[in-house]
Amino acid sequence: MNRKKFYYALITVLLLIAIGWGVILFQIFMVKSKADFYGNSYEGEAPEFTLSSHNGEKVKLSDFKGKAVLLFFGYTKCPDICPVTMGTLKNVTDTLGEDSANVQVLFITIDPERDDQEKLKSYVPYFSESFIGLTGTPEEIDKVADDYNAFYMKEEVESESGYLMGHTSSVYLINPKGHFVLRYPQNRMDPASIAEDIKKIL
Amino acid sequence: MGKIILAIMLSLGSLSFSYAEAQIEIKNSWVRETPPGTSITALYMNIENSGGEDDTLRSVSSNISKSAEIHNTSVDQHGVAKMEMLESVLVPARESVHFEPGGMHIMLIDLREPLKSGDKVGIELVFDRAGQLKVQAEVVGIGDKSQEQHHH
Repeated sequence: MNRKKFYYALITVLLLIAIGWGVILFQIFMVKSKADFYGNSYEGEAPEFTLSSHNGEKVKLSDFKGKAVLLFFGYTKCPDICPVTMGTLKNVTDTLGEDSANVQVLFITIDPERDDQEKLKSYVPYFSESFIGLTGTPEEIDKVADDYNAFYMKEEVESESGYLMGHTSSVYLINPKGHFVLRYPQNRMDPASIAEDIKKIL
Repeated sequence: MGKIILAIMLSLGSLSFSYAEAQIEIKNSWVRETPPGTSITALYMNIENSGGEDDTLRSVSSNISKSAEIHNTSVDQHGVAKMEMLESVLVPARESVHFEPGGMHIMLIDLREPLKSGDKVGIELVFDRAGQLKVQAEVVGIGDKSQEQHHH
């Protein structure tokens, strides 16, 4: 009887140790796999869209299958966050060097009322000739933003600039198969680290 | 000898008196070059108050644009960036206030001419205590690394 009790106790202790190790190993593994990327993990298929490029062509997301896509929603009359982010994306493609041939940066305006093809044509290539600016009807832009969980609204600020826009300022990274991989919020905008992430998914 | 000591004490006295006031200095001011087709940009700087009294930035103006406003960009927990207009900015005694990309900036609206890297532009700041200060800011191109320094 005593011996039986002893074995039960031993088995219980061994089981607890095994579970403990399991939990520890699981955590180490999970933390490690999360730490593989600099950006925040973001999953799912990137919704298809058709918009007009700054060159006047119809452009679909699926046109870029085989390339990694960096997608940013902004507007040209934005003096701070948008040029900063576009400058960061330019640095990312510069850092990638030859690999940048397999990366497409897309700038989708959330201010289609003011950002027509002409506006985008002078604005977007200024940052890089390879970047593509996209616009559409307010309804088309609304649908894309909605599909991408991107938020935008006119702000009620009595600025001399007309109206300002509040908008999702994160950059989306889509892999060559057309799936979301990562999202970069404004506090994760180190160009070298973003370039490292892209190299891993190319 | 006594006169010299008195003179030193008096000058030290006047020195400490002047330190009790707000002493505003503008450092590292720069403006972002304008992408073609845009007539709006942002100016950044550090405002240093080395004095013993708080001061307040009350207004900004510029000859190079139709208007100039103090704005602050903030990003909420959903990643939505918004700008708000500020009436004034407090610069506490012996502290610096930073205007940086992704944070506070002077928004220059309806620029009379596009700004090119290397240009110098002048703006005027008005403080409650320090009064009117003229600032010369250098225009910096998009490719410049300093633009990527985010403030958080």
